[in-house]
Parts: sequence; C-alpha cells; structure tokens
Amino acid sequence: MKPEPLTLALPKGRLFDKVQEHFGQRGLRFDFGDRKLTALDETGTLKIILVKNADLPTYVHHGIAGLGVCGDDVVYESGHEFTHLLPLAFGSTKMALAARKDHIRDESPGHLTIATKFTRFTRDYFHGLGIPVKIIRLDGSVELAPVLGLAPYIVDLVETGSTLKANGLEVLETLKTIGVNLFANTAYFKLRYQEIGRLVDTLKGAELKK
Amino acid sequence: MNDAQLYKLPQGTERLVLDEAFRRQVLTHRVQNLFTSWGYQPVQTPVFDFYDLYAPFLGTKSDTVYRLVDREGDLLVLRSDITLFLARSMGVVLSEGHAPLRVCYADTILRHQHLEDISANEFYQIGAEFIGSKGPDGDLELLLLLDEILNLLRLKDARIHLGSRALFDAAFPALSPAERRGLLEAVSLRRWSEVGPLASVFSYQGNAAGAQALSSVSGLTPAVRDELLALADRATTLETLGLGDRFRVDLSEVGRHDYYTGLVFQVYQPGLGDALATGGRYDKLFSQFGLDSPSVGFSLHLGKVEKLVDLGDLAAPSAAASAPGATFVEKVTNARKLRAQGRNATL
Repeated sequence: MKPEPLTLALPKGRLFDKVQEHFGQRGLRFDFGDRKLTALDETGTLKIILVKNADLPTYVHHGIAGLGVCGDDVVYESGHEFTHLLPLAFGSTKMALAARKDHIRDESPGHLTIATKFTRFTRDYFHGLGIPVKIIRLDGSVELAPVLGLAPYIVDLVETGSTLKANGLEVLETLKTIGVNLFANTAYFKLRYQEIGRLVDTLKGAELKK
Repeated sequence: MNDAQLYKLPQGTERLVLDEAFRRQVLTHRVQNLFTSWGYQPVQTPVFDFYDLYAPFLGTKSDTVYRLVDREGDLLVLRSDITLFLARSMGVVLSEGHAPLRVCYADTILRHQHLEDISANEFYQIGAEFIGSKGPDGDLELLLLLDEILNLLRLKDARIHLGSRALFDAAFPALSPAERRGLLEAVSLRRWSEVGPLASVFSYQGNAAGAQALSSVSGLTPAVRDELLALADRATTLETLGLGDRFRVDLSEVGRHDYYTGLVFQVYQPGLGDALATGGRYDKLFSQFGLDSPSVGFSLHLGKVEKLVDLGDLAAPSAAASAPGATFVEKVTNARKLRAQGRNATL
C-alpha cells in the first residue's frame, strides 16, 4: 500500500512561484487549478495546501499540515517551535531598522518608538540589547509611519530598498538576515521521519535534467 | 450580570459536561484499574503550594503558571505540573532508605495557554512514578506500563521515542545554564548547524542495533559511549519483548524539563500536533525536596486523545431510556429490571 502523501503548507504570494520552481526542478511538480487551495504533486509524494503566509505556522503547529515553507520572520512572530529541516536557497531578505533620511537620532533616554508588523521580533531584539521600545503595530505600508509622523522609526523587511527610497527613508541598521526554511511539526516529523528524510534529500539535490 | 464573562472561560481551565465528562471518567477509571494491577498506589497532590519551592524548576515555563497571594502574604502557585507537586509531597512523606514505591495520579493542572491555542488540551494529566527505582529495570517497567496504557486506549499507531538526557550531559559536560538551554533546544528542534560535530550522533533515529553501532563511531568519549550503550541496551530488551514497532531510539529526544537526568521519552500519535505523553528519569529532583531518592515516571495528557478512543459497547448515561409503566411504582419496578440486565434506565 502506498503511504499517504506528506502534507505541506505553502504561502500564497511572493514565495510561492519560487518554491514551485525549486520543487519542480527536483521532480516534485504540482499545479493548482483555478481557485483551488489543495493539490497533489505528480509523484503523489506531497499533498500541498495553499495558505496565507501569516497563517502558515498555525496550520503546521496544529498538525493540519505536517510540513511548511516560509520565512524565519513569520515563524518567529508565531511564537511556535518547529523541527528545522532545510534552509532554501531563495527568498532571503533582511529585517532592518529604518527612518526618514532627515531624521534626528533620538538620543534621549526612554522609549524608542517603532512602528512595525513584526512586534515580537522588534520587542525581543531591542530588549535583548537593553533598549526599551514602544511598539505601534501596523499590518502593511509601514513606510508611511515616519512620513506621516506616527513613529520616527520602523522595523520592516527590506529586499531592494526601493520602497524606502521612494518614501524618503533609509536603512539605519540591518538587524537580521531572514532566510526561507522547510520545517516540520515536531510530532509529525517523529512519526514520518524516514519519508521526510527522503524528501529533504531530494530537495537538497541538484536540479534534474529536463 | 456581565455577559462577556458568562460566555468566556478564564485562560488555563476547561469545562467538560455530559458525555465528554462521562468519557473522561470511564477512561480514567480504566487506566487506574491498570495502575492498580501493576501495584501502583494513588496519590493526590494539593491544588496550590508555595511558589518559592517550585520557582527553580519552572525555567521558561514560569510565565505560564498562575500565582496568588494567601492571607498570610505568602506567594502561592496553582498546580501546573504534577511531577513537581508529587516530588514535593512524597519528599515530605518518605524518609531516606525507603522501600521502592510505585505511585500514580490523575488530576487537573492549571496553566496559561494562549487564547488562540485551544487545541493543546493540557488540562488533565494521568501518570505514574516509580520512586526509589534504580537502573534499567525501573526505566523498562515504566515504558512497559506506558505501552499497556496505549494498548488499553487502543492507540496502536502511537510511537514511543526514546532518548537520553544523560547522553546529552555526557556529550556537553561544561555549559552555562543559558548555553545548556539553548543547545537542548537546538538538538530537540534539529538545528544541527548549532550542535557541532556530535550532530551525527544526536540526529539518529532507528532501532537498538543502529544505536549500538553508533557507539563505535570514532572520537566519542567513554562517557558518551557508555550512555549510548545504556540506551541501546534498554531498546534491545524492548525489542526482545516483541515491542520493536512501538519503540524507537531517537537521540534528538533530550527532555523538555531541566530536572531530567537519564532516560527521556515522548509519545507521538498520528493526528496530534504535539506529544501525547512525556516522561523520563529524574534522580536528583526529590533531593531538592529533602529526600535523596532516584525516580522515573511519565504523564499523559488524556484530553488529547479522549475523543479518539472507542469506548466499546459501553452505553453512555445520555442513552438511558425511560422505564415504562403507568404508575411511579411500576416504573421503579421496570427500571430495576432493566438495570439488572445491564441497561441504563431513568424513572
């Protein structure tokens, strides 16, 4: 009897095409039909579900999907712990502290006010350095905060920096390099480690010849 | 009346009613009968105790416990982990050189869970401990008892993963508490780049023979080799008993609590996102509560699997039929007859 396929959650959005290409080059081809949210790869190894990036750790934490692919930033914000399987060689980006180019560095003691989507990371990072922070949570277009005067600083993902530049902002400091990883629900890994091990080997391998 | 409070439960507690409560009672009773047949005696621990006694053992979990102040101004903690509360209770009751003692428990625990995280079901622990047990036989007894509980609950696909904190301690003898905690997490979450050359040892999963073979890898210290062989030896016994399918050696199991000192294990069940049961050996825990006695034990979160368990042909009280009869006396007579036949009847 063929074992049940491994379940894998993939994020909708910027990473999806890269994951699809990377997997496809290693023999794991899949395609989502119109508006469908689940698909099976051609070999029957993987059952793939498509979820919103920020919800992905929740699905894996609860074991609805056994495996997941997403950025470190999303996993960190979820607060969940997973079994680390494989760093993927694409989609890497930087978590940075930014402000207006003409900003005056706030040297006064007290809180540093930062607007961000990544509240957990920001709090832990600055508290780790012994710097108290006041955080304003935003869900998108964080660059607006310094421009409109909501907060002098932002913490956000920066790829090319063009959005920052267009809004008259600059990176003050890169806080962390954010990678994309394949990871597993810890209990799921324990029960299916052999199949998962084979999948990891396939994904580590070179591209197949077409 | 505050409607918002009426429909909300405070974080860290649960409500079971009717069939759900019946199911828990039946399963608890069945497991307790099994404990009794293995010679395990029940213990009931207090619902709260002095916080300071437990503070050193809570580690990163200290933010999940509930604390309160009693009338004399002492800080109290609600029971959040029965193993700790049991060690404290038995540490006072037993004296040095006591005969080995087998105890068991089934009780609620109270700890904070995130509002969004309703699936953890960690409110009710059922478990056993063998206090004063030394060496491999005690470890094996607890593992065999756990296997029988899984059989009783008809969880044939559940797997028990065996690891060793003693192996970890032998491999990394000189670490600061913070380094130790970080490395334990790296091993258990398989972040091998942080572990170093011994990653090839700790990543092992498989049977007893494989673990034994691993001990001949070059470069291991004698202490690491001894601990590997000790674990392989226990796994070999389990395989000899025909339980090779149930147990797996998994060296990334290093134990979730600071108090483990030897064998550690966790139970995984398909469909559950987290371990169903955890356990291990803690030879130094009791000494923190005034009794120098080794111990090994486990606890199982029954709430995680209650819904999966088939109760067999046992009729729930909700399925009781009302007894026929024109008068109350007739109804009582008929209800007695039905109950004598093993059926449930209401008047």
